[in-house]
Amino acid sequence: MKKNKLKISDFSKESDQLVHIDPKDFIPLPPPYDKIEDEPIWKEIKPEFKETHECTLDDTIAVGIPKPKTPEEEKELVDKFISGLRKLFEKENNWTFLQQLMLSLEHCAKCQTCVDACPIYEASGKNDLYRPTYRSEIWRRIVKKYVQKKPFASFTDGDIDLNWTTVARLIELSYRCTICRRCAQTCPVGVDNALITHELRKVFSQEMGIAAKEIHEKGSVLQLKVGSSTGMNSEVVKDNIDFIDEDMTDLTGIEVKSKWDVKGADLMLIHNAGEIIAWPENPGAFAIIFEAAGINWTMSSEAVAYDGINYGLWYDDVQLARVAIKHAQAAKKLGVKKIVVGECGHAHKALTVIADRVLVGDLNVPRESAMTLLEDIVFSGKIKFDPSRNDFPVTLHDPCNMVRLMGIVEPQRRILRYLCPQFREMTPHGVHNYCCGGGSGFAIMSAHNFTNWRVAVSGRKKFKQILDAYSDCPGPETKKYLCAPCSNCKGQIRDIFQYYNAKEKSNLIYGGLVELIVNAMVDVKPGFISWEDAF
Amino acid sequence: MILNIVSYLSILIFLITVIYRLMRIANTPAHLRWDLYPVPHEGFKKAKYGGSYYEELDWWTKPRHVSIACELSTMIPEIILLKGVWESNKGLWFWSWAFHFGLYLAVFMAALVVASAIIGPASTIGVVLTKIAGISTIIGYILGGIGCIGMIFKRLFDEKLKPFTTTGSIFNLIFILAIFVTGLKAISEVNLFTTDQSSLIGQMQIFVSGLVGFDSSVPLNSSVVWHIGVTLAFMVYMPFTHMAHFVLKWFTYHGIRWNDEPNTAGSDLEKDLTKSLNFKPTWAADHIKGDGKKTWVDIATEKGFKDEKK
Ligand code: SF4
Ligand code: SF4
Repeated sequence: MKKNKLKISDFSKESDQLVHIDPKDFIPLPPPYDKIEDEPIWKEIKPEFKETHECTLDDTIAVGIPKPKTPEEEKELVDKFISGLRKLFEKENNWTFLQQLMLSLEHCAKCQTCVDACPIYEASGKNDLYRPTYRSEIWRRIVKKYVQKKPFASFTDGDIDLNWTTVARLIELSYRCTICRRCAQTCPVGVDNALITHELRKVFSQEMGIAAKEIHEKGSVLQLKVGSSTGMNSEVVKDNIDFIDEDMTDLTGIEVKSKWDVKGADLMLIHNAGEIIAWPENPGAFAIIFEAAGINWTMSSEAVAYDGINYGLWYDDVQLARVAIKHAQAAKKLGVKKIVVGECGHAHKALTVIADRVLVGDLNVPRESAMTLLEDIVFSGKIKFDPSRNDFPVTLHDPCNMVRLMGIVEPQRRILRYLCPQFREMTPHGVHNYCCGGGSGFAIMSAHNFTNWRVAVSGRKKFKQILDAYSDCPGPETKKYLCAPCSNCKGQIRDIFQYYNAKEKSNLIYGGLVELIVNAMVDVKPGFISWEDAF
Repeated sequence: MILNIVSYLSILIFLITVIYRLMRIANTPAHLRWDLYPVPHEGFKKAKYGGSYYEELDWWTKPRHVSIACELSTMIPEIILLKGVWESNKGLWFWSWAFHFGLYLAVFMAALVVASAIIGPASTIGVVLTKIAGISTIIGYILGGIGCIGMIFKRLFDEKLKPFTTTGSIFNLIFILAIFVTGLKAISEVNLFTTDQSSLIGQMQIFVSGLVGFDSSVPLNSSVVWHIGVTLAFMVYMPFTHMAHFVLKWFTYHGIRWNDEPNTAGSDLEKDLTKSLNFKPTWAADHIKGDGKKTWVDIATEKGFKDEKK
């Protein structure tokens, strides 16, 4: 199928491949990343897997639906899908998003104003499959024709065939959007294509039990079972934090001791537990700052509550509510005054904004962002800083969940303007930022060749933006730091930098905000951030 | 007589359908938040960069300010100039703006016709209103007609829009074009700028006075009757389509994008949410097993989770 010639009706027609991804179509990156021949070769999807699973959407796989063995199985998938779609429009089943969904179903003017805002669509070279409206339009036509059974639906709303191929491809296509909502920001009517992705994923998960393994089985299910999607139970997490405290004490020359289960503390800090495994200096830096500022803080060792991850945000309201309730229950048990969410964008949004209307009564413990607290600490005068220690080019990535979807824009910037003399903004930034390409769970999804897709396609626009921010000093002779105050974004950025070898080619490293704060602390041994030890 | 009856019915159907659609959305349960920044009622300073009350330490202890002025300063350019389309879809902007602005002027004309018919077309104010109505009609109909034609071409031939063009969307545009064309035809047949009864506005005033006074004895020019007939048919049809966004857009913005109301203890919102949390879902996946007996609370709390783990 040639790009830009994809019709809605093609989606339901069986074919070897609906679209192909060709690096020649991608938007170019700045030098030295501009040569198409240098693009890493995509991993092959195993032929045995292709034979037994639906792999005909594009050249990658996020979910991988087993092919039906009998016509009954084929029918079952379609029937379950229709049943789930019906439930989306029932208040008992979907009071959570019913209003938003009805409006997005009924009011799209099909003006395509939203399409150019999408970094995936743009980076792919405007591949029609990734248009924000393509997925939505298929869903809309199915709902009108097969769920609402609207008379003359084919005439008024356009036709579509619903068969096994349609459903299986739609499951995959619901994992080609990061739910960054950049498209929604430009829609003059207020229609939200990201919401449609979200609701489609909900039907697949809540009705059909189908979701990307990494976010469901190895994600929220594991978190609710053992306490964290990293697999760490309470004892392991405490041990790991002990090790981190020791390392931090050695590294900084300051005695670091993290706090656990302090009853009546002023605040309960909740990290994305991925930090503890992948970026231990981040929880370490939090502890250093809080101790230095004399904060009365704690973490909870209750299962689930030591991991701010809440993947339900992207695919399942029930899983979202279960995790959020555990977080709030732990805070209530400790009797803290508030929960502070660490550097994790989706944990911010899940617990602070979305769960706000799940946590009623005494579970409604106040929740706030670490960004505001850190700003307060940095400007309180309680800690002495030497900004010249951060005298290297720094740019800031805005995590969509924290910025576009919560309006936390300035606190982190005020800190960076103060502590980083060479701070520079990306274009565009703030609420108009581009997603890192790892949103909605992508950052942790890497089965088959999905990493190739999420780096080269969905993360491409971000990588270009980062490189452009350092256009005055692109070479490896200048040390550069990308501040990404979000675990998921860091996971994605780590993979982008590794994929394109950005450390070697551009001397570019990434990390959080707290690391920059500690790096500038006068009482800390110099060199907390180290280019040599990065990765 | 027939035209008057059709008019009453059309207006009634229009109102009932629009109110029904509004109520249907308004009556959905309180939903989870889905705000999107910038949120203009945060005030000029914050809205400029998209900030929210979450930027403040202990935000729940601070009074919440809601700036209607900032909200209006966002809404007015959006409604009148389609600022969003200008910023993100310049190729469509002129046609879409002409189309929408033509419709606004047509509605404005209708309002002036009603006002002048009630006040009395011969009164000083009536004469002024009639003249303004005449001007807005000619500009509105020409602009609207151009906009319609441009949009039809765009939808049929523009690579970006074409795959999403349905027969229905072309039908809608042709329907609206018919209003402008019959209006322009009527203008060409009856005078526009005189304020007497032979002008289009004068004829419209006779029609409106007839409706208000239940009097259909004064005959109308046949081209005016056609124009009114097409407009009434559209009024009946439009609220059944996506074009009802002209009113429902209020919810997409105020109910969703800009709805940042926090849930506070003892609030009406909390009461509504508590009701919703007691709904009994039937989601069938194994990790939920909604049986229509367990509530959301049961399923989301330890109780439901334990049941599910068994
Ligand atoms: S979602 Fe909005 S911007 Fe996109 S096509 Fe629909 S109405 Fe236009
Ligand atoms: S939410 Fe983001 S990734 Fe998804 S369609 Fe919109 S702009 Fe693209």
